[in-house]
Amino acid sequence: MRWLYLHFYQLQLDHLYREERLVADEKEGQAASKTTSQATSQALSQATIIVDGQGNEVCQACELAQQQGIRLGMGLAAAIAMQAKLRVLDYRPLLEQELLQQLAEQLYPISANLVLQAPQGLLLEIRSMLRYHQGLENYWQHIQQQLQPLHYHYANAHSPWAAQLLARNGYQQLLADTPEGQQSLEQSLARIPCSSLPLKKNSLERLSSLGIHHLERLLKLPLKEISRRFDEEMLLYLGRLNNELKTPLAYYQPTEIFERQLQLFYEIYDSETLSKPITPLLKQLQDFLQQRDLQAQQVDIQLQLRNSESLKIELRAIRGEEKAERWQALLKLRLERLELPAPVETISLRCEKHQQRGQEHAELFSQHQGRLSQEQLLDSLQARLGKERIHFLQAGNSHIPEHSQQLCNNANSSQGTSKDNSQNNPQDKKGSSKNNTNLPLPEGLRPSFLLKQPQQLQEEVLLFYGPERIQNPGWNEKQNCERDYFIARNQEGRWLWLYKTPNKHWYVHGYFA
Amino acid sequence: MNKSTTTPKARPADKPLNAALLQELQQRQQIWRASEPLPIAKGITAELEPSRYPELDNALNGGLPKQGLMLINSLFALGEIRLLQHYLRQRLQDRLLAIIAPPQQLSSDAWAAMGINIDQLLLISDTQRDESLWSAEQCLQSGRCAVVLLWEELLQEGKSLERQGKKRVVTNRQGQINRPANRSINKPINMAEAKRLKLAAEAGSSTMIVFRKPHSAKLAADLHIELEAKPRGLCLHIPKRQRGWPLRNIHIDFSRDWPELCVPKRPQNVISLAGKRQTGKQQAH
Repeated sequence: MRWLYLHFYQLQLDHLYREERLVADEKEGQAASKTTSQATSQALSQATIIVDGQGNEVCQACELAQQQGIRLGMGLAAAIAMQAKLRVLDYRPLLEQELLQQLAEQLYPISANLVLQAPQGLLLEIRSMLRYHQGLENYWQHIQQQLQPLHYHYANAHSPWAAQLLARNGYQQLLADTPEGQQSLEQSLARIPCSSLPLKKNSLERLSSLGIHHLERLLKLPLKEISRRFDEEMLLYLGRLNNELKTPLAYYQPTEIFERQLQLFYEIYDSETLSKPITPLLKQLQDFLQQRDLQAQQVDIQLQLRNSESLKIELRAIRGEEKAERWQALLKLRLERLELPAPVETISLRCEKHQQRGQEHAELFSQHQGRLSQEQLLDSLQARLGKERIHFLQAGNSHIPEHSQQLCNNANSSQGTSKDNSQNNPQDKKGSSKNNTNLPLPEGLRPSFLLKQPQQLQEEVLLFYGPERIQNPGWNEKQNCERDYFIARNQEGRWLWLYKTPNKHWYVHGYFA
Repeated sequence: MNKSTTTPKARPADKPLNAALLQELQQRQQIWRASEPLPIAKGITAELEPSRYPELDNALNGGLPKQGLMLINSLFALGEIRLLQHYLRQRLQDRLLAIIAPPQQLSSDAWAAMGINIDQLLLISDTQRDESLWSAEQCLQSGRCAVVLLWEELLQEGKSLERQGKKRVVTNRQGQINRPANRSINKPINMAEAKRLKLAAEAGSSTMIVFRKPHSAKLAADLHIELEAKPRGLCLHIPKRQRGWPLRNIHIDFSRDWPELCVPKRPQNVISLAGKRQTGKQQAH
């Protein structure tokens, strides 16, 4: 039996229950407010149905609802007539698709060949996995462990469509690959009504008008006769059912981008409580990264607010980080400064930028043991203060004192060229961003601190050293700079770096601290 | 009856111990008097880093502390960075030097000329008071910054004009750093914060150096230094330090390291007549 089909007939409902249970557990753990705990306990005890928007039919119903007489396929009015206090939710096929994807990710480590059969099914190819799991029972046990506490029907067969048919019709059986197994498979298949075949409506009507109500009779008909009365689709289907024709299948490939969305049951007003729901998402990110041996460089969190534009938070780790605790710490630093203009309804987490895991830090062997590595320190500082307030100095390629250095945002050791962030005097545009470690130092003495804008000299000073002329003839008047620099001392004993322009104006440009 | 072999600068008020019991304890070397230098045990002298200014190193019996909190009270730009030049260079090794909210822009030529690799300078600018202190603590604790420099007069709370794009730090005639006006308040570091910074520095084997106004209050730091400018260098007072008495009048001569920044000695055979012109040029030697 090569194929196993899992039919999750209650996927959305199960997801709902799982989330509610999480919320209820959380609330029980803390001292929660009375209203929220009441609301959740109410929800768990209420009957819930899910209604398909198109036909207003009940497509999923919980046990409580079914006990009270609601059946699948009933109209909404009939359902309400059965039970007045119902919780009715819309069927969301997109949500189910996402959930199916998540399930596939969950099962992927156990069974490598998966096919997603939207909206509610997963097809697994067993034969290649049996040797790894050493037997069908072990394999099935592993899968069952992963899939608790979902509700599903399952069946295996020699062809994918046969398995699908059986599972969709409510069978929950696993058959062994023996003659008895084969026989019971045929028997089960025989009993399936033709109305549940995934064929066009015309074909199904024709089949029922011909009096063929069960698959058994259909399979007994010779193919020639079928081809005369029915179209190609029927022939293809039957061929594939019997495993005479091959079905092209697209196997599931795990995604490169990690994306998760969390719909909150209650709106969050306080930015600090946001870290609670985001923590499990970060743990999932950690699993995702560890499975692929990657490290994340940037994590984008988008907060959707009520009646307002969504907020984006970007957390960066210079050297890549996969541990959830580190991301949590960075998130906490950012959240402390965050102001929410409106309450948060949905949180989505996305991680695109990742890289292979690099080597461990060389600082492991340095004498000075501290808690963080240099990159982690810079990450923390950036997370709280913002990238624009952390700078490194870089020597600039100019003899004009203002341009002899530039500020750049990244550490020089990691990059050859860096961004040019120099504070330009509007006059001069010199200063390239080459790696300037080879430039010779100026021969004259330079002050440790330079004023951003040279100021007029306003006090009495004694000149002691000079002049040193720094000249930069430019192409026009504005770029000209011809200054005679002197070192002077003022009354309090402070040493200044002055310059005199050709107009005999004196300016203070720096201090020798 | 001093038990140490080296003769320190004993205070003139040292009286020999009278009671017989005390004398006996001293003979057994179980008493230490603060006037004596620290006992020469390996752990303790290894904690001092020489500043390479011999007068200071002698006065402090070794040098400046290798880790912890140092408070330097002085007007801006009297020579405090020059005093710390060798200390910074020696402590830096392969770690960073974090400079938080400096009063002016840094000039890379000057710092490179002092022997500090400018790749190791980390500048954090335009921060509020709590952010500055928090960054200092983070840098110290991480162990990846050897030294952190902070200017107390620039710690401002409240919206500074810089955030609105208007700040300019100006030093006025009295030599104080002009705080960015209006709306922002300068609060000096209190005892609790100083203690916290000291603990963070010890956790990460780093030094925190805070520059303050002259005659600021004493806090729990490893070393307090008060600077006064002198024509050929500085005059230091140490109002408070750990494991030692306060000291006064330590003269540092900058003529060896910074000859251009010393008032040259007047040669003996020059007599000034009027001496009223104050903006004259003099030849430097």
